[in-house]
Amino acid sequence: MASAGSGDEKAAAAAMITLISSDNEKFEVTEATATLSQTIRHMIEDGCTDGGVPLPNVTSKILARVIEYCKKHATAAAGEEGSSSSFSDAAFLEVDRAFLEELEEFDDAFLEVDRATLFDLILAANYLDIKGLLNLTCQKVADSVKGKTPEQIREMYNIVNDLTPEEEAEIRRETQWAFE
Amino acid sequence: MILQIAWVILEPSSPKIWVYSCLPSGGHDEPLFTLDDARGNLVDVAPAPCRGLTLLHDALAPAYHVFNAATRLPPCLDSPYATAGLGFDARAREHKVVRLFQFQSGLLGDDAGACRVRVPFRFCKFARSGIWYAANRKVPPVFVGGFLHWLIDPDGPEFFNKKKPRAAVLSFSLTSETFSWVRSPPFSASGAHLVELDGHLCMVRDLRRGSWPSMLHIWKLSDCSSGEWSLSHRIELPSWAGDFNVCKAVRVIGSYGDRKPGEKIIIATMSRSLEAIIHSSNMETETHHQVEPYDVRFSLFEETLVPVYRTKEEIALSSPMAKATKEILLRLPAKSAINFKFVCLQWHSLIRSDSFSQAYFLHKNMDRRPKIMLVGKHTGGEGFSFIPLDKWLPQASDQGAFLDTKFVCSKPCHGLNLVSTEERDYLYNPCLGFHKTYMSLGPMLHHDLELYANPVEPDEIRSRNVALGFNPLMQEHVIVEMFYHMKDYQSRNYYLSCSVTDCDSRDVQQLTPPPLPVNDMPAAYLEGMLYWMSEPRLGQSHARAIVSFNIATRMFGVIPSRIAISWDSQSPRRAFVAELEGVLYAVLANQVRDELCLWKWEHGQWDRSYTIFLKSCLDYSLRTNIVVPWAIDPTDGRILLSTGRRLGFYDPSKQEVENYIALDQVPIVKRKEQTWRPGDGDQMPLDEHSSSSTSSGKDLSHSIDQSEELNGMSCNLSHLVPMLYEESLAYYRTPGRVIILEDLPI
Repeated sequence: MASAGSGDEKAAAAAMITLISSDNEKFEVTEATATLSQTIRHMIEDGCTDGGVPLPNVTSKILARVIEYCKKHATAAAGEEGSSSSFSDAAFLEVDRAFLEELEEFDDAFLEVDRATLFDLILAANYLDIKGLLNLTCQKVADSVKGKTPEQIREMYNIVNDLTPEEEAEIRRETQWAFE
Repeated sequence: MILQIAWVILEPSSPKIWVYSCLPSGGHDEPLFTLDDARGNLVDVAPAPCRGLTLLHDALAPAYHVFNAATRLPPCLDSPYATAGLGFDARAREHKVVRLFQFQSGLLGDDAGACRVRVPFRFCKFARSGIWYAANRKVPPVFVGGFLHWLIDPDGPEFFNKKKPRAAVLSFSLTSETFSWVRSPPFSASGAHLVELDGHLCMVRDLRRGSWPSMLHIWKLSDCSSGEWSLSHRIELPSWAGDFNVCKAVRVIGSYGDRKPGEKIIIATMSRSLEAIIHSSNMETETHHQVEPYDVRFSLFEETLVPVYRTKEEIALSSPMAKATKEILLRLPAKSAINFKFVCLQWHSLIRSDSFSQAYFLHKNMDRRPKIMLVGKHTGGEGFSFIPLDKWLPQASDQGAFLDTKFVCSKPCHGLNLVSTEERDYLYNPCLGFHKTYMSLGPMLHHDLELYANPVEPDEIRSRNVALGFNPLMQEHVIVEMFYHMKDYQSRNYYLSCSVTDCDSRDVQQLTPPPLPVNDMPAAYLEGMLYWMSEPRLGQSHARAIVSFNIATRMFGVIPSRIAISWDSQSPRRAFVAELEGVLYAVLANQVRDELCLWKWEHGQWDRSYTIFLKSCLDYSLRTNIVVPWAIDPTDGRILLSTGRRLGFYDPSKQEVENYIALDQVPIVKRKEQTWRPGDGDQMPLDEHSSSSTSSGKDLSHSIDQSEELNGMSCNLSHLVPMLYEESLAYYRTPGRVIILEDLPI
């Protein structure tokens, strides 16, 4: 039973998926990496990945970063599952902790990008439905904007204030308590 | 085309509407979809689809839903009476929703898409009658042959004591957007209803009363212009179909099958059970479907791929950029999120939308871990301050502020907390700073107190128990106040008044008091219900029981405590209710053994589920504290216990409490009202000498515990009190419209 199971896993791990970016670049990734994306997971389940998965919303530059993230986190997920039986509890916890730290470091380094790239990563994570990446990138942006004034936000993201003075007054009125 | 019957469950306790489908030929019911934010019993379903689309009308919002795949159209103008119908404009090849409604001024209008048509004067009377009938009888207009048809009630108020109208039906052409009327059939249309059968407009005459056997007559309009009605079906209702004979409203909702011989007519009762298919050709009748529990509306349902119009919000939110923005905003602190409404129109409409505040609430409280803030009151100023735990410096907390008012904090309910003092209740969203103040009504509700022989000095007996709940039907928070004007444990007499305040509208309703007196411990809120522990030392009953209150229906009930819970009401034990992990618990404190016994109320019975052993936890001894379980940490199963000034996590496996916050080290500063002892309910026999374990003021510790009685979580002696909260964007606009919040999935 056990050997059959791991055999299947190996087969699954070996299965490769081709992802095609909007600028037609091809990326070969393992199924385990690709299925971190719910969107691609559903495509695989529906059996429509032959000939590659076209991702018209993602450029090669961003896709490369996304795959980098998925690879790291896919090995993390596999490590967690696989290691549980082969280590004693204490050793497992130790490994687990080290792994989490490494993952955190990776995530921090991963987020060292400019604002535009970060936004593209969010869009890609949203489109590909990768929960961890979406959470990571959105939290990063949220942390950078919280506590800022609306004017600062508009400046940061080139947003035009299209609210009329009446609308602004209305918002101010209904949330008066927020300014006390 | 497959014709299916959709039935809609309108669940009064939940804002959800469930739509199921079943084939008339039998088979399993399949859920089609749910509508999350429509208000149960105020919703109407058009009985027949119009080219694949069905209409649901929500009278309260007031909005309508067109569903193929459920889509909600934006609410229209507010008006007291309105009726909506769905039709198809064959020329423009599009669906139109027509709303007929009445302004306060008496004008009428209809709203087809964006344009508004004024009802011509000569049709006003008919239109008013049509709206009145549709709204009162809950019969939406019927779409046949390019027209929407409303029944004109000849017995309605429009024609009361007046000449009866010649018209029986008001029609509206969706193509030309003009009104016309149809002549009355050779009987009074009062009590009848319209239906489309086989492409013809039909009127169903209800002859269940006054004829034997019970009959329904279906009259067909053969020709619109001549107004010629002919009797096309006589349906005899079988005597065994009891519901059809007793039920107030029976409605023909449509037919299926080809032409005469095989034609079946579907009849539904509009109450809560049965639906039948009647073979009209050979007089065979069969009942087909039975649904029990809730208010159910039936509708035919065509499976098609007609696209439905998307709302502005949906379009605005469908761009990838908007979705990304939403994901970011969800991760902001509540205050920032509200403040960012000023950024631009898109952000404003995004943040103010109900769907966003719902998503926000779910996102922030996904982990279900108890979140704690500290509440304090500054001298002089109105209201309270909230300090997140991470910003709290124990040393600094006692400077500058001191507490001169006793107050009680509720547990969070749909994103809001209630902080109550003796005279006022403050509704707070501690994350936003939103607050609203309500006066205590109790003292005003004792006008007939003189009737009682010996009203006791008000100061001694004054006692209020305030609870915060949420009305799922109206999507509004409510404050329920129990107020003792007198209670006397000797004679077991008491006088209790009870009032409910709707938080948004501030409507107040005085209720007949609950069937049993309640004690002073806090109430628990759970899914539209509030629960209190009864006070066995007052009134007729000596047994403990739990008083329940359905917020939507405003009905009290009693859950008896079973004998298995050996609750000796004479023993000096404190009992109360608590909500933990979405389940109701009864908690019994045993001071002698220093144990809290928790009984779980599930599936209509009590199960003993926890015993919390506090013998080895001095700071949480039941002899000197009122210990209330607040929450269970979902990650490790530890129970968060509160003494009012101290919080700790109880580990069931180690039987130990790990201190989390201790606010009781701060020396006692002031004690203002020695006389105010909110109720001696369930008073434990306190030993003066043994009760000085926690506080520095030895002589005061006795009274600390007594003043703690008001809802248990209170504290009048330290500057700050811990409070559970939920991070949410819930607040009431002024003037109000509610932000809807769902219960967290458990």
